[in-house]
Amino acid sequence: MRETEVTKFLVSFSGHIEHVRFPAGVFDDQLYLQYDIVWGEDWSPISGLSSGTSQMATSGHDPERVIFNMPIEMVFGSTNVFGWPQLVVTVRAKNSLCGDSLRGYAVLLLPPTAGSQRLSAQLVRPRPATLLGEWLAWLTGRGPELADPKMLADGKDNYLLSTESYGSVSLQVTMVSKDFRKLGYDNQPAVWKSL
Amino acid sequence: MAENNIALHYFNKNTFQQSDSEEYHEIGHEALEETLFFPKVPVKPIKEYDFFTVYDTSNLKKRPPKKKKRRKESKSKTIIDVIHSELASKSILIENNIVIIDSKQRENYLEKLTRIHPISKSVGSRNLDAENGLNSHKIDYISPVFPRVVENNGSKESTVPVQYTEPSLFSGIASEYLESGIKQSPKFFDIVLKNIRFKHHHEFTLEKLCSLKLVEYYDKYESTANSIKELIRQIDVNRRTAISLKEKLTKISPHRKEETKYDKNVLKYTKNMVDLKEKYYHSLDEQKDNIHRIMSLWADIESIREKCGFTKTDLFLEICNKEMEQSEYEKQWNKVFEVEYSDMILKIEHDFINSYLEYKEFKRQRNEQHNIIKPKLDIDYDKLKETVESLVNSMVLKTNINLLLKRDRSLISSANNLRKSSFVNNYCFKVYVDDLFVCETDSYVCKEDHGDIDFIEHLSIEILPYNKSLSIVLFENNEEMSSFQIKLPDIKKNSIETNLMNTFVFNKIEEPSTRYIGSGYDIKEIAARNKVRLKSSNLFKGELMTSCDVNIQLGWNNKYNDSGFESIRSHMDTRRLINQLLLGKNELCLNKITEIINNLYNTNIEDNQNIMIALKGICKSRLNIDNSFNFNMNDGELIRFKLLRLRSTGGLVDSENKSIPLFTSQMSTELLSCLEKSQQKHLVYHNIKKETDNTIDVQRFVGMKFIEKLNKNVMKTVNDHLLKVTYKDVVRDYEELSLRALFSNQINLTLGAASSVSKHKLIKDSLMTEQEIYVTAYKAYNLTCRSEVTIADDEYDCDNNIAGFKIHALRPFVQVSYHGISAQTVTAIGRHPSWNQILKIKTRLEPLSSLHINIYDQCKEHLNKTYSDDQSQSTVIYRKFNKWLGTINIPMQTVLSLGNVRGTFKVSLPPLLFGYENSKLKQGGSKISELSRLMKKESSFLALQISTSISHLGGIETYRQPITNDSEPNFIIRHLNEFVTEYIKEFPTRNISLTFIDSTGKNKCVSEFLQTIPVPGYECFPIDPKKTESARSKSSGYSKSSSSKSSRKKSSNDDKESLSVDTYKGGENQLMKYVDAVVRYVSLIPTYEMVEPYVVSLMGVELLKVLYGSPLDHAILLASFFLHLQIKCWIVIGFALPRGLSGYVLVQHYRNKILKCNDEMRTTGICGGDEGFAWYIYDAVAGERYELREIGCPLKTVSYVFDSENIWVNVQSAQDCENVCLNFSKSSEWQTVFNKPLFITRPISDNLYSKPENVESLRETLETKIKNKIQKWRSHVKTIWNRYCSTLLREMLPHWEYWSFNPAEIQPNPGNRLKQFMATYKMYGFPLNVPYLNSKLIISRIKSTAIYINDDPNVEFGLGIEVYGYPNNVLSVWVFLASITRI
Repeated sequence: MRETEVTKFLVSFSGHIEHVRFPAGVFDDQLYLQYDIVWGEDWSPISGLSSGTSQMATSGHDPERVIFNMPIEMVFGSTNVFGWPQLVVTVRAKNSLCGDSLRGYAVLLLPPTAGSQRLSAQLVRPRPATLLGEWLAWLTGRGPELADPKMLADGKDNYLLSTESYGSVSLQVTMVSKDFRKLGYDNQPAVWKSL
Repeated sequence: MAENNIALHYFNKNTFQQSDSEEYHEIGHEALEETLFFPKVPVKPIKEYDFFTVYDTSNLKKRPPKKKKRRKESKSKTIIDVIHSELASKSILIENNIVIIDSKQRENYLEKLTRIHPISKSVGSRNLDAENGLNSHKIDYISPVFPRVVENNGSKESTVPVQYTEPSLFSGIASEYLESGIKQSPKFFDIVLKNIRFKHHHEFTLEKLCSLKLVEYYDKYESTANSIKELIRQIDVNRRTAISLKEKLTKISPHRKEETKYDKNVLKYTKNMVDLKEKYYHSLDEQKDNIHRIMSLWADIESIREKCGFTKTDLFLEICNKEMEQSEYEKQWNKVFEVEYSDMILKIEHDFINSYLEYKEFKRQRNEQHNIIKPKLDIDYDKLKETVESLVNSMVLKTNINLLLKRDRSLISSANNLRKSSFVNNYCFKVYVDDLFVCETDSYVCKEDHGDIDFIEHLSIEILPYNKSLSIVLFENNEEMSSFQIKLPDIKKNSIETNLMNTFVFNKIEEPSTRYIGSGYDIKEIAARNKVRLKSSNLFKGELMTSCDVNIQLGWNNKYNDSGFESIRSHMDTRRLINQLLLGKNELCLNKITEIINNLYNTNIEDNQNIMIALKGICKSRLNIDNSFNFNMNDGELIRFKLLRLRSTGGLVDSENKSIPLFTSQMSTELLSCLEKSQQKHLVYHNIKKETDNTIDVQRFVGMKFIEKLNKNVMKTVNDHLLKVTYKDVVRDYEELSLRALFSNQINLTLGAASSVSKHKLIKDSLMTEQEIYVTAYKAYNLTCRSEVTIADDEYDCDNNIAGFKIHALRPFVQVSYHGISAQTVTAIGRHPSWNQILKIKTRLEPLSSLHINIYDQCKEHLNKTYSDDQSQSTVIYRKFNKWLGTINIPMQTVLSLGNVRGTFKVSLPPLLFGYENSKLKQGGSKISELSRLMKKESSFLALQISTSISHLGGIETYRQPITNDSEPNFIIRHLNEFVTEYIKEFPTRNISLTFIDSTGKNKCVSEFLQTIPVPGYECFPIDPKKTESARSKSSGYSKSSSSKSSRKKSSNDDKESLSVDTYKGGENQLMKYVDAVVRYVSLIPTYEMVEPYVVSLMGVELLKVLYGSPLDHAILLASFFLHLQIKCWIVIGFALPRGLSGYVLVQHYRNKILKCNDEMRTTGICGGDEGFAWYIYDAVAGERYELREIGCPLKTVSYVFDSENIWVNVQSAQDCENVCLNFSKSSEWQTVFNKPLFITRPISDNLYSKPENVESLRETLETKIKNKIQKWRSHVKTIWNRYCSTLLREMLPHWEYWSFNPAEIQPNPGNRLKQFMATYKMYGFPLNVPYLNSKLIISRIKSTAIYINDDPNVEFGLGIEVYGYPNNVLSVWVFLASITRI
């Protein structure tokens, strides 16, 4: 192998989790979110935080939306596109009534094409297994939670879950890549190709 | 358009009275004729299709004014009004449905305007209305209930080509279909019709008829002429070959000229020639006939033409008669004659040879002479000449007639143009399936002067399974003329197309006239009508019917299935296949290619040999290319692919960094070794075979691998069972919800913590990464101290005196090592030192092994002393070296499973340490002396706490209930499961499993593992060497070089009678001896550490065969032996240090006597209490006995106890050994699992034990190996081996071996010679005793003692090694190592 030969491509993701939206309005005092980035075995993080927790936020003018603007920035190096980084967002709420409780999880595939993109994903949360549990969850305001939210990115054990969906997360991410072409990957967006 | 608008206008105003405008009257009449929409007579339903198809755009524009009017009216509207209006509208419908057929409206109909357009518009206006609050007016306007919806639709059904069938129930149709078996997809039948060619037509003229015949014969003539030419050529070729062959053969062998005739090849060619000749004559005849016919026909035509005065056909026959001159004729005649003559002779000869050969063959078959005449060759030359002459005469003619048929348009007389008599006929084919009309072709025009029509028509007809026949009917001017029927069942499925020329014979009879020949009449009659005499009338046979030839191709069509969609898809598939082939994505396959070609060209090329061979060629060449596509075995890319595959199959579990770089040079050695490991799995056995020729080594290795494999399988099944992720593992939900708990307010309203599975996973993951092990060394008790001599040596050590007090000389420290990484404490002072120091080791835990803790004594030696006596010398030079005192092994698995191990561990000490002794110094009434009194035994202890950085994950719940492999577990397992469930309800923190996994991977009740196993005979065990020495002194012939084993054997024979099993069973003392021997024997079987929480448990018999087992297996074997010795014993399962959950053998003593089975009743009868009873446990691995209440007892808690019949589960509040009550008869404290004995132990009668092999070679190899290793470790200095010392050490070993079998006897002391030796040498050393597994283990043990680390240049070493073999190759290895320095 020569010195000049490229063995890894670099991918940088930067952006921010813009807001969380609950179509029927936000009834919690404060919301906060946690994010984890999950990546495959061939990938190695070069810089950036792979997980984080946002500030507490409340809805403003728009009663349906809570704006976070939580910055995300990660740079990865990899030899293989398999295991492309995914972002797992956990939205939690702090409430004077029932304390800390879950509002939902969202999984997003970080964009594989260069450029700035706006992504959004629906929030998903597990449902209680029993009717009694459902009732209890309603009573206490605390539903079941995932033991490890990262399992959503894997999808292997998803068959065990029964979930309901409510709300959405949207974020804006810019992807910049290096040496993609040299390693034989073509990730140009379809629009450019047609031109 | 305009009318329509007005109509709407009126209608909306409900003013039907006004409808008597002129236009309405006009069209109303038409409408009234069809009383379709009369409400009382619903002859036809409302036509939905009209509703959807017809749309009138014109009414949109005028909507606003209409609305205004409606709005005005609606103000005064009531229900009655509405009804009125409806009624009115109904009656007016008749008029409203009138069609005003004008061109514009038609266009509208044809225009593809969507309905959505107007609807959306109207919706828009409605919205506007809604905003203005005016939406109420609309309601009755778009009411679909009323038939008014069709108001804009004319009754234009005549223009819509839709066919309607009788209404029927769907179920009826379905059943009909089912009955007829229509479920199969229909098949399609392809018919290709081509070119009608008339042979006879009733409208033909006679001339035409003749000329057609002429053309027919002319074609024949031409083809025959061609074939004659070809025949002549072939005859020539064959003749010449035969002749040249003959010549050549005669040239080769001139003597056998005669035999050349019989040559096979010659015969073949001659035969060919003769046959061809025959054909030639035949075709010559035929040609003559042809010429004659053509001539006659032509003459007829000419006569007809002459008669009629005009010509209608464009044929012209040119006849050239070539007359030959006499000389030329003769010349040719002669030439031909010669040729024919010779040929004739050849023929006769050939016939003769044939008959001769036949004769010969016949003769050979039947030996006796029958009346077969031997053929003779005799040629009658005159006769021959005559025949040839006549032949040549017929062949060579004076006049040669050559015919040439020409077409000449100009011949057709202009009179033809004057009389427009030419007929024009339309022809078409209709196809019927089972008398049901299916389709028809276009009609083709046939003009008179052409007897044929050129066209191609492709038809595809759907054939249902029950269809029987298909007929093609030819129509002439819409009149059925002739038909052709195909029986469908005859044409087998997928039979490839039949290409046939069918002759349609018209069944129409028409009288001939002067102009037409008609049909169905004789040629003579026709000729008579035409008033012509025909020479060629014999050529036309029978009644002449109008007939024509049509080319018909038939065949099943595979492409059309249910629909056109299918066929398109099949085309697309074909295209994709071709593309794939072109791009080389698919391997070329003969079947595929032929299939594609067959599909594309609708042929069956499989029959065509040439094409198939060509295709095969293509496929072959491609296959070669594919072979070169294989991976290059040396390619770096291949390694990467292999690694990727390994990773995806889970092969890279144990490596931390799982990323696989692109290039081989970047790959870590770890990855590559993983790959190697996965590839070389099966080679290991051969490797070990290569390495060593020792059968014992191989046996041990096989046993080890066997157990490893069993355990691996068990782990796999258990993991499959346990690590199956369940809902509980994924979601943290409220735990154990139940209504009862809810009402009793016991509910835990916090979400459950991570389950055991996720914990297990976490541990697995963290084992991959580097973790820290923390070892806190607190304190040691009762270490051996330096002997007086050694202390005396160190007298000058000034450190020994602190503030005038003399302090203890021992300087112990603790060294902890794991995977080669070690850490050590500072030195402390004295026999009971305390360190209180935390040692940290950071390493990867995987693969799990033991944590080795060694205690060393740090010695200092003054170097000054040896070199000068000057004590005042300012610099003091020390030499520090460490002397090993003892070791503890703690399995990491225990630490991980418990999370945190804290306790006092017994230090395993060598039985003897030169230079050290167990001090018997009296100590003041301190706590320590009390402790030592409590401990009773001379043993050292070390208080330790071990934890790891993943301790928080400790305390995993092990599974409690056995996995049932079978779908139906047997009732014992079920009973146990129920019992455990009950038990756990009562003691949720306790964790028991009443089953072990046996070697077949199944769960078995623990009691089943115990069975009586006969102990090896006592004569196998060593006897007191002191006795043998005396015996040896008697036998003068004893040579020193012979192995100790042989001497032992010999001596054992002497004492055989006195040492039989029965005698040992008899006396109590003897029994104790036997017990000790058995304990020792079991402890010599190699042990492995439990790395996984679940391992296979072996029955005692199996362990004796495999010789490699877990601690529990040893306990089982020992208990089995005890059972045979009729000792009352149990196996106690509980937590122990350092092994975690493990089993020990429990025996009961009563007044220092071991309790036997038959004693049991008596003892319990005498006293219910524990007085006089002592409980002892045997550690089967170490071969040691502990009292249960002792401090040093490794067993800490008791969870259950079992013997071969029953299980007693601890239901006391206390589990610890100090407090537990061991009276099993108390049901309040011990719950029995079984009420009655269930297990029958079968006595084992077969011979379990085999004689040990000769171990001398093993001893020698071990000695050289250890010596080499020590020399290697001391690479910087020369290692001197003191032979005298070695022999002295070795002499001691039999005593030690005997002592270890009889621990009750006095510990052996060094012999006199050794004592003498020790007087002159300073000596440090110890004997190590290990069961033999492999040499590596022994060497690592030696290395951990660090005896080889000695910087003294004068140091010498002594090494005594002895290997003792016991039944089944259980080996005891003694390694006596000593370092000596001359004083």
